[in-house]
Amino acid sequence: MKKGVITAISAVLLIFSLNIRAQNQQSEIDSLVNKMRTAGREWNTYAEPLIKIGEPAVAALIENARDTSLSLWNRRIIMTTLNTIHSEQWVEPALEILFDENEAPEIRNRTTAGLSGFDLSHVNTKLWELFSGFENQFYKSNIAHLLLSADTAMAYRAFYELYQTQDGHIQRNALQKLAFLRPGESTNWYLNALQGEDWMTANLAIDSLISASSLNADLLLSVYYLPDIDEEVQWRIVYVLSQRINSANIPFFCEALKSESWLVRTESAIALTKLNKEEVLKQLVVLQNDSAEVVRNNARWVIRELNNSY
Amino acid sequence: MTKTILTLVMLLPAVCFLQAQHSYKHQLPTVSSEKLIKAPACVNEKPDLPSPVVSDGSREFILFKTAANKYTCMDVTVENGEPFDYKQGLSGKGNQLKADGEDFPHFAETGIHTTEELANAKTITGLSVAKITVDARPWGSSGVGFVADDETIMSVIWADNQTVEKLGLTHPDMARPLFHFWNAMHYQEQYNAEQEPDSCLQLASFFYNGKELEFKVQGSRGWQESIFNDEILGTGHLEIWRELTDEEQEFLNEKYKYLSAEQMKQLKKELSYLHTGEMVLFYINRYGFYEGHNEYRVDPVTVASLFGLKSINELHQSANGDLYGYFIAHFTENPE
Repeated sequence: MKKGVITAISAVLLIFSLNIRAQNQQSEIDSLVNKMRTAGREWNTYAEPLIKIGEPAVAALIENARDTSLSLWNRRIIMTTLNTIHSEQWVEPALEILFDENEAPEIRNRTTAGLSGFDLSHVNTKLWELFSGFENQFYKSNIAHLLLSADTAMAYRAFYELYQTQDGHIQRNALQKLAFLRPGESTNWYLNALQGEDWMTANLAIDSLISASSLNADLLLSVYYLPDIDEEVQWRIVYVLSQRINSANIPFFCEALKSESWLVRTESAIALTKLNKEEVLKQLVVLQNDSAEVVRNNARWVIRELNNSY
Repeated sequence: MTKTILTLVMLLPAVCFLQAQHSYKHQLPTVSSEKLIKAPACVNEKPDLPSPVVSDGSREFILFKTAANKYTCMDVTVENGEPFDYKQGLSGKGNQLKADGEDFPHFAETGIHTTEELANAKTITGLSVAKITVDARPWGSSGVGFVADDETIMSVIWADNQTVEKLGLTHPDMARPLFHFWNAMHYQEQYNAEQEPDSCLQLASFFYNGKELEFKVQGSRGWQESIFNDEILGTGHLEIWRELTDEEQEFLNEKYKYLSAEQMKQLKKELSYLHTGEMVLFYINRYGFYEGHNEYRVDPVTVASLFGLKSINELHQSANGDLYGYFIAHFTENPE
C-alpha cells in the first residue's frame, strides 16, 4: 500500500516537473523568436539556441516566417533558422511562400534551402514553371536542385539549360549534376566541358576525367586533333593523360612535344618524365636531333630528368 | 650534442638575415640608435636622417609623416615572422625572406635567376608551369588574372629577371621597399588595435631615398588563392605614388617629346604610381614574379623609380632609350 502511494506521488511529481520544463522551454522559445523579429547583425545569438532546441521551436518560427508585416531582413533570418533546423513541418509553409507570386523573390528563394532533400514530387510541375519563370541564375539553380527530389527528368532539363547558358559556379555545378543524373553520358559531358571557355567548369571536367575508373584515351585524342582547336583545350587533354600515367601514351606525348603551343609541349615534357624510362628514351632519340631548337631542348630536358631520377 | 643543436637553432635567424643581406645589391645607410625617433614617439620637425636606414645592428627603419604633420621612424625590418594567413585570421609578417630554393637554387642564393635555371624549370612548387599559366590567365583563378592572355608564368619571370639584372639589382632589392611599406602598415594596424581612437597613429606619407611617397591601403571581402602551391593569400589593394621631381619631368619631356600627351601621361604614371596586392611582395622575393601585364603588376622599373633605387637616366638606359615601349610591351617569349 505504502509502495503504491510513493509510486503515485512520484508519477505526479514527474508529470508536474515535465510540465514546468515544457512551459520554461516555450517561454524561452517565445522570447528568442520575439527577439528574432527585430534582431540586427547579432541575430545568431538568438538563432543558435533556437536551432539547438530544434522541432519544438519550429511552429513559432513558421508563424513569424509568414508574417508579412516583418522586414525582409527579419523574415530572412527566421527562414534561415528554419532551414537549418530542416523540419518536415516547414515543408508545406515553405512551398506556399515559394509559390506565392506576391512575395519578394529573395524571400521565395530563401525557402529553397529548407526544402532540399524532401520528397517534392507532388509539386514537380509547379517547380518547373517556377524554374522557367525565374530570371536570376542563382534562384534558377536552387529550383533545379529542388527538382532533383521532385522529378529527375525535369531536373536534367533544368541543369541542361543552366549548363548551356551559364558559367562559373552555376555551370560547374550543373555539369556535376548532369553527370550524376546520367552517369552513362558523363564522359561526353566532361569532354564537352573540356572544350568550353569556363575555367572552373573545365577544371571539374579535368579532375573527373583524371579520376575516372576507366577512360578511352582515343576519345580525348579525337578532340585534341580537331581542326582549329584552342591550345588551352589541347593542354587540358595532355594534362589529363599525363596525370593518368599510361605508357601507351608515350608516342602521343612525343608528338605533342613538337606542338607549336608552349603549354602543350611543356606539359608533354613533364608527362614523359613520369613514364617508363627505357620506352621513353627509345622514342625520344629521334627528337634529340629535331630541326627545331625547342624540340631538341625539351627532348634533352626529358632525358636529363629521366637519367637523374634513377 | 644538445648544446650544439641549441646554438645552431639560436643562430638560425642571424643566418637567414645574412643570407638575405647577401642578395641585396642596394645597401642601406646606417645610423646610431639614439638619432632615431621610434614610433609611436613623434617629433614636430623633420629629422635629418636617411630613410630607409639600418640601426640597432640589423633593424631597418623608414621615416613617416603622420596626418598631424609629425615625424616618426618605424621599424619595418624585412624578416620571417609569425604566420600570415587570412583563412586562420593570423596576421604575422609571414615568410618575407623565403626564396624558392628547391626550384631555383641559384636564385635563392644570389637573388637573381639564370636563363638556364628558368629554361629548366618545368615545375614550380610541384605544379607544372603550364598549369600555373592556365590558372594565372584572366578568368582563371581570378578575373583579372596574374598574367595577360598572351603571357606565360615563365615568359614574365624571365623578362622581369632581365630587367632587374640590367638595373644591377636583385629581386630581394625590389621586394624590400615594398615590404618596408607593408610592414609599416602592419605595425600601424596592430598598434592602433590596442589604442583609444584619439591616440591612434595615422601615417600619411613616408620618405624613401629622398622622395616623399603617399599611399592608400584598402581591404576587400574574401581572399585570393595563390597560383603556386604555397601559403600566400591576398586581399588588399595597395597604392603608392609620388610627384616626379622637376629634373625627372624635364628629362622625360626632353627624351620623350615624340610621345602624344596621352602617352606621356601614361609614361609618367608608370614611373610614379603603383597599384598592387600583398601577394606580389611575397612572389617577388620567393620566385622573382611581379605578375604580368594586368592592373596588379609591380613593374621592376616602377619600383626602382618610385622608391628612388635608380635615377631616371639609369632607367631610361636600362630600357634601351624607350621606357614607353618597355612599359606597354607584353612578355611573350619563353625561356626554353
